[in-house]
Amino acid sequence: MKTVIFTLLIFLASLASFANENQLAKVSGGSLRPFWLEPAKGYKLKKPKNVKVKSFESMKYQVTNKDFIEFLKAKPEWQKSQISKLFADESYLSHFKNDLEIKNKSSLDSPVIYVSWFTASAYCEWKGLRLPTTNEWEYMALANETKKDAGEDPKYFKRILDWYSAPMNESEVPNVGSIYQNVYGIYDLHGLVWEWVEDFNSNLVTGESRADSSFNKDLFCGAGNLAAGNKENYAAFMRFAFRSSLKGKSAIWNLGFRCVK
Amino acid sequence: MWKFLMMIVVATSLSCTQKEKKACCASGPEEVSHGHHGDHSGYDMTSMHQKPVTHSADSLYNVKTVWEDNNNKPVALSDFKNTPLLVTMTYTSCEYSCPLTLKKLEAIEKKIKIAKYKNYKIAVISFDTVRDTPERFRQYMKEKNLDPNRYVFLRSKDKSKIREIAVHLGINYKEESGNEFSHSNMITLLDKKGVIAQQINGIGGDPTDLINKLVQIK
Repeated sequence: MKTVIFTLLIFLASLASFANENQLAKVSGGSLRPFWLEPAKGYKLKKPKNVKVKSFESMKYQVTNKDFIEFLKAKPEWQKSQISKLFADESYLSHFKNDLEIKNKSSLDSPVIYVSWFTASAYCEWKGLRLPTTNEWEYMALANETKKDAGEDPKYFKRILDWYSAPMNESEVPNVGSIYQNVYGIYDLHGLVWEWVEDFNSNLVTGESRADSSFNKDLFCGAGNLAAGNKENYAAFMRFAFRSSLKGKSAIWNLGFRCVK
Repeated sequence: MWKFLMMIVVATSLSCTQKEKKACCASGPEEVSHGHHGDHSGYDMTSMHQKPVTHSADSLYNVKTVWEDNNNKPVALSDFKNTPLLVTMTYTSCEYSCPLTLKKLEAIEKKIKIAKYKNYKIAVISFDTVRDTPERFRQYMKEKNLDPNRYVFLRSKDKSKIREIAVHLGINYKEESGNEFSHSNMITLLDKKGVIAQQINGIGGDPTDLINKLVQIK
């Protein structure tokens, strides 16, 4: 019985500490296979080279509403009533009822949403951190509970696709830490809200010039999904397509962020 | 479920046909090591509003990054106050589409000259934190016969500042191996207050509206 109580206390203590502090987890570097760029069979496009990702540290949790309110108190120029429209569109912090309080149906421990790239970058800078690059994000998000590279695991993709296809709205965003913890100790890389990356605008999408030989054409435009190497890669295409549709001042309900070092 | 996913991708692909973005110089023969790291002498994004804001809210003069120009001088965008400014981003080692963007600028210059409009500048911001030094800029301007009274080339050693201005200008880019950059080509007209007045694709875009807007700026 004593052990049970003890375990329970430890559990509660760890819960409390997570509420106060968003610790960093170490992500050891390695090689990222850009499987989302692999052409389908029959396509005479070059297979992309592996990308090297250096070791870095990432926040275990997405930045919460509670965390973000601290930032707004310290840096009032980023409050809803004061922010320059250069840095965020009119949807900025739509789930706040005023400069420092969220609406009743939102939760303080949910990830902050309706934040622009500029605000997310400023938050990380304030913390002495930065936003992850696309490669860093994809690298850490490729891990599941047991493996660093779950890229071959059908269950890993099923979870992502189930999430992408499940309808949800802003008042139903769960608290951070409630989805899953991967092998690095990082929570909710899939299943909560999408995340800003530092170089979200690095996708080169070919538009008018559809004959362009760039592989990206096959990813984003027209029959992108048909050219996909395999259906599982689809989840990654979705993220790339989503990112390429964003602007720096976009503030939307299913997009938050975490910082890295 | 697949239907749902399809819908999103179709929607995204529709939106991407409205923009024109073109890869440039995706791979180059030159291997340059990344010896430099960005300094942090630029402005601090979190503290930038602490001084009273004197520019209009959507003015790019609010971006306080201090660049180094082709004459080794520190320059901020707000230094172009009261001067219409054409802005583009490229890098001087780029061999494929960047010269095309410059050609486009040349054509625009000619038409503006015909309209007898004089008081404007052209700023070229570089993606390349390593090779594009003020010396290199001067050499390039000489090679391409670019008027130093019209053109200003700008660089920063801080990659985050380059990313930031690209986001403001709606330019997508990616650093490839060997210090080459894939990037979209865009020419942006900033009015005398630093507000984006018009944007065109640097290669295929029709510059007529941009020129008309520029020459009407009093």
